[in-house]
Amino acid sequence: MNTLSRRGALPLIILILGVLVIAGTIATIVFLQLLTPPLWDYFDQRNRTSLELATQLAIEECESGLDTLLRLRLSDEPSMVETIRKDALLRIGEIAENFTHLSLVIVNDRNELLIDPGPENVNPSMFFDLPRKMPERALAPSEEPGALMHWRYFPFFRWHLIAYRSSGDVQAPVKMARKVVVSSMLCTILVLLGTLLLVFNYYIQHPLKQVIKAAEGVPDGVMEPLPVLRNDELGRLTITFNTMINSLGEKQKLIQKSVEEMQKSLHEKEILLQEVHHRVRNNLNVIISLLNLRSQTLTTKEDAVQAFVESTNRIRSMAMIHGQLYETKDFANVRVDQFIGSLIGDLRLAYAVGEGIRIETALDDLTLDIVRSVPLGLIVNECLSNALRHAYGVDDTGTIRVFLKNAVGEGILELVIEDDGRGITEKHGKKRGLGMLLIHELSTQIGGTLEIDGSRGTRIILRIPL
Amino acid sequence: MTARSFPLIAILFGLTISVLIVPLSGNDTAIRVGATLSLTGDYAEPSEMMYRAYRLWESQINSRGGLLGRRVELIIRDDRSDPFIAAEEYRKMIDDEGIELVLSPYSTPITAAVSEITEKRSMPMIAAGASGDILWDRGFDYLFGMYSMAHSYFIGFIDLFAREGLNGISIFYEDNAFNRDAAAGSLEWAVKMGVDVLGSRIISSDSAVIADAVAAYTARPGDGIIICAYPDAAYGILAQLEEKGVRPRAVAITIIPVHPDFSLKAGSAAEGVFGPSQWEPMERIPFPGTREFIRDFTAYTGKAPSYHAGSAYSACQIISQAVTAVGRVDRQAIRNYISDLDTVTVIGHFKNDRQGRQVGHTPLLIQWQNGRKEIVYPRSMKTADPVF
Repeated sequence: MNTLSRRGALPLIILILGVLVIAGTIATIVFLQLLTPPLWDYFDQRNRTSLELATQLAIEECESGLDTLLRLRLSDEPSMVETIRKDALLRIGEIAENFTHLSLVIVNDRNELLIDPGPENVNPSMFFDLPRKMPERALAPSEEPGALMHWRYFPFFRWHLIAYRSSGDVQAPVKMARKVVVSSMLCTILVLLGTLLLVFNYYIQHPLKQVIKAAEGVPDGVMEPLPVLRNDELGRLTITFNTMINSLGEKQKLIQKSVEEMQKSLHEKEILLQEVHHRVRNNLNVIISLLNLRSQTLTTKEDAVQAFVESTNRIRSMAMIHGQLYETKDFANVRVDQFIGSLIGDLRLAYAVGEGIRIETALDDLTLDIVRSVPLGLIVNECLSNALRHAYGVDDTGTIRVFLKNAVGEGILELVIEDDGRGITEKHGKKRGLGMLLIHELSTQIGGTLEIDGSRGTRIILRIPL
Repeated sequence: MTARSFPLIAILFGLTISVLIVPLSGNDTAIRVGATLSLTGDYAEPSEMMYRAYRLWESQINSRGGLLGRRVELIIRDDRSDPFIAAEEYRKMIDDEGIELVLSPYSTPITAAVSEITEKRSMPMIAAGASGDILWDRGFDYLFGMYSMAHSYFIGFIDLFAREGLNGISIFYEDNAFNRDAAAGSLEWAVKMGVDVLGSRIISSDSAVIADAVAAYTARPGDGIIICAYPDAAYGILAQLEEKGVRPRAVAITIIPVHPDFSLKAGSAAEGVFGPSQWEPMERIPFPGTREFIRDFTAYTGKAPSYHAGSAYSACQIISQAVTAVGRVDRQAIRNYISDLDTVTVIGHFKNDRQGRQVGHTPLLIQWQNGRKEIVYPRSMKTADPVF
């Protein structure tokens, strides 16, 4: 993916550069096409004007010489005229030096060059036999069509004062201007390209790389949000990316939590399964033991029936605990208060308790692990069964009270089951009954202490350390 | 009238008399300046301009308190374009009437005659209307030129003519000092400039003579004609050229083209005519007082000044300057002052050589283009390019 994305940007950049270069080249060509005629006109005007200026200055020197001769009334003195003529030649030569790429030529009526045109490749014949009349503007001599020439005739000296610029010098400024234009355009294009690249890199490529780098880190779990520096498409992309990784992070946390919960659940289930198997085996062993014990006391048919009922209740109390475990989905802990409440109701039905017997409960909210819940359930079952079966006569009225106290501060669960019935005889109190035997054994099994008071009704207090 | 009021009336009368008498008494008598001008005759046209300039100066100098605190009284008489009359008038004014200063007449012949009188009387005179070489060949000490030399009048024209590539010129001239000099100078400069002179012919105001000259030109036409003549002859030949439909590429004439009314008088023949000028009333000519002179002259006379007027006024300026500088009306001192003077007047530079020739002044060449005068030479002062 990384390679693909990088390859994806390069053609785009090359495309943009190519378009810019082509557009710049076309613009340069068009610009040159448009510019060349006025450029040529401009430099042509300048060339002509400079030539005309040169001849003007030259003839002014001649006029100045003539003026001097007239003022001094020496125009008839050949020696003075010659002196003035030579002086004019010198001054015109100095004027010529002030012009670049321009020659000032003086030709007399005998076609003698009094000032040389300079460059050796100039054909001097173009300066001979020129008309006396000054051309209105500088013109191109037939001997050198690209060149320009302008002249003035000064009759007193019989001189043609000719300003000449070679074709190369005439065209040089235009060529130079074209070079300058082309160079400028190229420089402009290069600067534009460079600027575009910088801008592209700064505004697009660099932020994109950051996003790509950040995106590449996502599979590795690196979900650092990117700084949002601009409010444009890339800024919005960054915001979207940040939103996405935030969402991914949240989901990842949820997944992590779910996994942890599932692992925990699985662990619980595994333990539970083991526990269930263990419990089932234990419970079955308990049931077997209970049945065995009970079976040893059977003497009559009624005892057998009673034994079934008792056993059924015992198994029910065990089943109730498992039922609650199933219903609460918590297979390790049991709400003891709820279990006791349900057990009371079932036992009341099982023993067909009349309206005269009231059962009052005061049960604190309490959760207890399943290991101790089953023995506790059997204890409650035995205690309540004893109270329901033995504490009252058929028409007796009475109240059975069940208290479950969560003495948290002391770390002790206190279960009190009391009735106001006949109380426990000496015989029952000395563990002769299977029920009492179970109560004692199970209390010991879960580490509890048991107090039984049968003097005024029966009061059984079981304390289990939590 | 009562006896009590008589002294008061006497005092008032006395005061009135004294007020009337005081300006006319004492040493504040006017400085009398004499001159003749050709108010009639051949030279009347340029002389009229000089007359108006002299009168303008008189008015201005007196309005400023006169010369040396004395009023200037200018006496101008008509010499009827006759040198002898002019010379006699100058003699009378100097010898008999006691004038203290003179101004010059117009034209070379008259100035030449008058200067014979003034020179003998050590009376300095500035030739404000003459430029013939003859004036300076006599070695006079009291005559000073205002114009550049007649000999050089057509240098600018021939120079432009030759530069234009034109060739073949005919010279027609009146046989008098000024025009001979102008024609001789034209011939000489045509040769110097490499222009062929096709013919040189004397003319006069006589129409038959003019007709012969025109015929001679027609027989051998060139690109140009130079006419050195006073107004009558000059207008005459111009009219015949026009009448016969002879239109050379270039025509140059002395004197008449500089007059503001030349175009009115010559009609369509005036168009394109060149003329040498000592000065033109164009405000771009940057001499001190030029603009004020043009303004004042036009206001005073209702006409624009010609170079004749400018030259006359400049001569007056130099006389004023000399008298003021010397501090008295002393002919010798004034002569010496002018001889050494190097100054600028309203028509330009003023400086004379030992013979009194004007060497400071630069002449102009004008051409009538589209009904108005344009300066076409020298280049530094031109208002338009020449048209051939």
